[in-house]
Amino acid sequence: MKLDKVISVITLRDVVREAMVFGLCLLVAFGINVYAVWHYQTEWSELYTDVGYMAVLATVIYVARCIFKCVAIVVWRVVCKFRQRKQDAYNKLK
Amino acid sequence: MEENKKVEKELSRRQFFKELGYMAGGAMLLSMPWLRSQTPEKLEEVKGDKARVALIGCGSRGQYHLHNLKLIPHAEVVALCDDYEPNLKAAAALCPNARTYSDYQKLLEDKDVDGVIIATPLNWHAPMVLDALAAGKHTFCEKAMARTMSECRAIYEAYKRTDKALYFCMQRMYDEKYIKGMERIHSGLIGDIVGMRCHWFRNADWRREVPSPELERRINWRLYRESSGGLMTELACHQLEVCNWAMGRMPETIVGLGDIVFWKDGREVYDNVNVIYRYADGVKINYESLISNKYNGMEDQILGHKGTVDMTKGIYYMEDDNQIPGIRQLLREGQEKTLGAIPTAGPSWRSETRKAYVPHSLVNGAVSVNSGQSTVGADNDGSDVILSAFCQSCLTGEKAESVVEEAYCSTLLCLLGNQAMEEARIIKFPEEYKIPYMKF
Repeated sequence: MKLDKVISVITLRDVVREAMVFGLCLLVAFGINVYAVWHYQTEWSELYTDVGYMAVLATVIYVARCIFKCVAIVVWRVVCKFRQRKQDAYNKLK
Repeated sequence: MEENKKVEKELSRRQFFKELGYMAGGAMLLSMPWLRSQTPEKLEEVKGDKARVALIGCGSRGQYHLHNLKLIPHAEVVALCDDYEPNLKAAAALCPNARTYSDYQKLLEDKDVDGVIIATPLNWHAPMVLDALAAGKHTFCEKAMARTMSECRAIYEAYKRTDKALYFCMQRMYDEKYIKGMERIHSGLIGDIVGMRCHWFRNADWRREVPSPELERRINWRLYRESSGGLMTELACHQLEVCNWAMGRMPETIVGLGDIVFWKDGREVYDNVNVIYRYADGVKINYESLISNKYNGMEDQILGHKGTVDMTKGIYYMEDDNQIPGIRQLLREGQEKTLGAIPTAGPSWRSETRKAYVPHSLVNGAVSVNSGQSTVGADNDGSDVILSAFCQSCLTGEKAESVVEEAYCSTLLCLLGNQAMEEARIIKFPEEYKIPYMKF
């Protein structure tokens, strides 16, 4: 395996994309907080007093999304590899 | 050093009563009339004066009172009395200027004594209180009121006739967390009271070392029926008073079971009791006490349909707590729905384990919690405040309202509890012992 194939470079685009994803997670957590305040009829001030809970919830969602993405990549690569081998075997026969 | 302690204690006490006096325009003082003598103005009246008090019964509890008396600026211990020499000597070492007596009748003849504090075995309470009042002394007596119901009645009648102040050491009536707890309960915080759970658990035999066998019944008086009502008069008395205070009335029927389960050492009183007191509307006090396991400690829980007050810890919990942030409630509900729904003993059964309630404090700042393990007395449990109030009464002659009545009610319930256990039957509150103060 050549060295240039294992080095991954995190580009600015990646950082911006991940930041946007985390921002989306924060937005989802905020939405959950709004729903909780409305549902349990608690104080609207919790939207800022419980910002810590929102941050933790957003992190949990983000981490869950990362885990899901990793699993999806691994599965996708296994599937690709399997397809490739099948294709190679078919080509050999030809 | 001691002077500083004295001033510090007095200041915090004044601050607390100042708070009480002005809270809700003094409404609290109307519902708790025994605190009226504790307003800052009343305390100002006795400033600089000293009540000359004497202690009868210089055992461990008596000495505990002496320590508290030394911190009360308007108290001076002028005499001590005990017929057991070692105790008298120990007390005299604490108050070297006090005169000593071995006969309480002689002490009662002492004209320089304004008030007496009685901390003797229970069977001595009635004769001593009656003699002290007859001798014209203001009187403070340890709980319970007396060993028998007829003695309680005799004390109550004497109290009604006398112009002297009479106190029984119902210290929870002067304990900040109980006062504030009751104020919250009566203002409807926990809704309707639906039940009360009180327990007191210790793991100790209650025995004191006896230097020679003939002193066994005198020193270990708590273990024998002639001088003690056992766990009921020694422990339950305080807790039953709290329940009646919360309810504002008395239970009608009593049922219970008592046994000597563990300490089979010749004692006559139960070491394990379960008594249920039922009010007219079906609300019950579940009382439990044993002295061979201390896991549960001591608790006085008042249960309402909206919440629970744990008086001993100065904490309350709400059933539907809006003070828990919505997001936390949502996460908890999610957790319960997913993890809690896993059946542990078949699909139709799910264990109803206690959910985690959020505690709210009744008192601002540090709360002094009595673990219930000391057989002498806890710090800051109201004993010092009620003693101070008594010394104040010695100077002003003002009686404390409701203290005797509350002691009478709770002592009678203790004695009826013992009767119910001994006779193993349901007992109705006897008509002949009802007093106008009682509501059923």
